[in-house]
Amino acid sequence: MVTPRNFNLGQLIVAFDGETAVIHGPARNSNGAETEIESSEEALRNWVRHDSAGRYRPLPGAANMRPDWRVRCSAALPLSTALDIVYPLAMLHIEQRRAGTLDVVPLQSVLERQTGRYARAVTLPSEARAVAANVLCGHCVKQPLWNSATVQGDQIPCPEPCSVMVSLCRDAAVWESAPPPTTPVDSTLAWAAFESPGNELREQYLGERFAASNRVGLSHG
Amino acid sequence: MSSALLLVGHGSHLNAESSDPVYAHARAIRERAVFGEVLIAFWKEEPSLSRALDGCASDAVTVVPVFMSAGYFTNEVIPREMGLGGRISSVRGKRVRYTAPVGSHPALATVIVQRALEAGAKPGDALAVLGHGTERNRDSQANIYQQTENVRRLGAFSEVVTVFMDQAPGMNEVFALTSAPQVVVVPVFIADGWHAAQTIPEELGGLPGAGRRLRYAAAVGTHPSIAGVILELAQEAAAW
Repeated sequence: MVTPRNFNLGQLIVAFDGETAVIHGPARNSNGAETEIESSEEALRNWVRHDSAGRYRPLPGAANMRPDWRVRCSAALPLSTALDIVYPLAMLHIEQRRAGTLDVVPLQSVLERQTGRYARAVTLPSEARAVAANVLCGHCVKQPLWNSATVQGDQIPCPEPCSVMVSLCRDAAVWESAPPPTTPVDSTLAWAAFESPGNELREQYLGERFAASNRVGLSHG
Repeated sequence: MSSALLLVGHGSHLNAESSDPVYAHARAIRERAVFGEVLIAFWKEEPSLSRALDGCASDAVTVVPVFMSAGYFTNEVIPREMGLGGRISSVRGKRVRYTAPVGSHPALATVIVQRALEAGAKPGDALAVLGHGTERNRDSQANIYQQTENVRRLGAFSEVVTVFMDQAPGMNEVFALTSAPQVVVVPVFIADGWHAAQTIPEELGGLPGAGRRLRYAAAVGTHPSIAGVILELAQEAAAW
């Protein structure tokens, strides 16, 4: 019997103990100590949906996964199921990209179809969209094919802007007419609470957007 | 021909617990092995609505919105994001049936009653069916009123009234709308999230009852019986 080869997926390392897959979270401890997660769908989902500080991770691809843990795959938690819990659809999208069948949807199409609260997102100018993509996708392990990214090896392709991106574009569109002042980052705030002054992504965006627009001479009075 | 069941929920960027009921109902339905695949998708979480069918291997899919009200999300957002054109659509070569939301099914009335009984309701009590409501979309109130009527027909309680969180009649009127010594409020919400578990009980707890008692039940959407309601919706759609 040939032992399957270890591989990486996003922040995960998948190693094989004989035929049993063991998924490791990102390593930070120098002594290699890891928390063992119960081999069940529910336990793994609950674990990866929060960061080290206990904050909810609404974006599975966000590179803020808790470090130093492992889960042993089992009949109750097959490897494919476990990977789909951590990174939904990632393995499928890797396969589809390799096969040339992955449907990529541009940001403009996603923003154009929004209604209600998010209808305003499409008014965000292109240079501000670029800032939003750089900020949000810079915190994500997926490679945004919709933003001209390229995928190498086992990197996870992102075929379509996510709802968090739409939400950031919506709030950023509001900020275009009256840029809010920057505020010191409060890392206890919810990760995607862009309306809250001090949210780290909001503050990064405001800094980059208005610094960038100053360079090109745009007015935000 | 294989068939899939796809549960779609709202999800949240801020609250990890809001999608828990969708996962729980999907797990319960998988254990019954009725469908070849039981998938999930969310408006604000992943997998997203727009990519929900990416991983679906079946030729026929029944989409059940795990929402309590028929309104903006079920009439506009879900069909738009999934490319649905009505009750039956053809999407990427799949036959997709799109049902009414869980909250519109008549069987929900029995779940509301179960929640009230679990909270300690007795036959002489008043039952208040509490919906989210919104002044922005009056469609969303319709099935809350319908469920109140369905509960009333079951005859388990002396009084059954409707109140809302975000529209009139508001939940602060619950004592004024009833006369029984004890009122049991049942939130017709999907999850015991921020509203159902925090803001609503806080507001209800501050109401002056003039000696009358108020009990507050768990959210209807987290009840295990909801899995059965989902299956009923799917079975009804199979006859279309």
